[in-house]
Amino acid sequence: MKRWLALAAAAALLGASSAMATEELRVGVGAFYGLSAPVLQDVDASSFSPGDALGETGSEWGVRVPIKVIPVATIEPYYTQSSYDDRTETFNGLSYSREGWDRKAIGANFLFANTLATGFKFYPYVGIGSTKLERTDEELSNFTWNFGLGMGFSVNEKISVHVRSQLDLMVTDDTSRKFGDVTAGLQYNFQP
Amino acid sequence: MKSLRWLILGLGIGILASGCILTSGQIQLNFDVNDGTVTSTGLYGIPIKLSDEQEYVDHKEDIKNISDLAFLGKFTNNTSNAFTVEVWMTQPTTLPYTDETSMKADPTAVKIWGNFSLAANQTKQIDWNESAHLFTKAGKDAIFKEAKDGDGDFTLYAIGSSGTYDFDIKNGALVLVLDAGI
Repeated sequence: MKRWLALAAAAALLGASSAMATEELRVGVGAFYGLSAPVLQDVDASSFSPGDALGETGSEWGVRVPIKVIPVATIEPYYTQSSYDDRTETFNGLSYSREGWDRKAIGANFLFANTLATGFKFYPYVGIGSTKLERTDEELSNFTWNFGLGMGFSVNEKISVHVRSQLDLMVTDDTSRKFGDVTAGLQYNFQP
Repeated sequence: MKSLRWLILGLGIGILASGCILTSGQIQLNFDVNDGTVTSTGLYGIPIKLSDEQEYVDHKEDIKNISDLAFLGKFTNNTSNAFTVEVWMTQPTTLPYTDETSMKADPTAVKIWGNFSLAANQTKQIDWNESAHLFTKAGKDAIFKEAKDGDGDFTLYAIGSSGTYDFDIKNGALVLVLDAGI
């Protein structure tokens, strides 16, 4: 699995770097804030209902640096941080709380649109990165895939608004810890 | 456009490779523990039967790891001496052990959890986070091996760590979260 992921990352980087060499560089910077929730984590098998698929929601914020690669695509390094609420459950008549994770992730998305251009955009994107989950005396860290859909519109030539929904898959051997995010943010373009 | 083909190829390989990690989750199984009193001369076995859980039976082959584990409940020290509580695991036997020496002599016995401190005559409900940290590496490995390679049935014994002890367990529960394909 890791060899496939390394191959995928290498091929993507090769393609992106080759493409960037032929294009005029355009760069922006963006900040975002929103909600994030664990997906299919700690699901109670004996009393499952579809609503249990999402765990305790947390807040999420981050920054991104979109770089135009080719006319219809953008590469976007990002850093994001989330903090999830504690989970409270009752077992055999007593109530307990489990500490929620703090999540930090760094990586790069590949957006199938030029989000540095003006106008309305609706774009899918994929990304790779590294995620660290932390809570008291416990830490997990691994490779992460992102998949998402974004929507953006420009306020003027320099500023645009972006709303995104995203699924993050932090790889844990042959399985993953998944998180769903909904965020909104502002982006500033350095070039008109 | 040649470079774009490389880019799309790379992302495509990545998405295909991630197929097995897409259909997975962390499945929580809970087992209630009957109330009981434990003394240095009178143990009681706590039977855990993963095989009674249909989700476990259906996805046993897809179990990859244990992602979280906790032994919960309210403990009461019935003596005027402080001591600590630990939990051991054995394979099920026809008759559960009633004394510590026999239980520990079982070749399958392994300490899986502890030590949880109880002051003299104290009643204490353990915290979920504290309990999760009290599971030993050997204990996690033993439960995972039983869940993955065994029949999923085992017996737990709570004991005092030394000397004379006498304590109650009320509203007890074992919470087990398995990392598995679904």
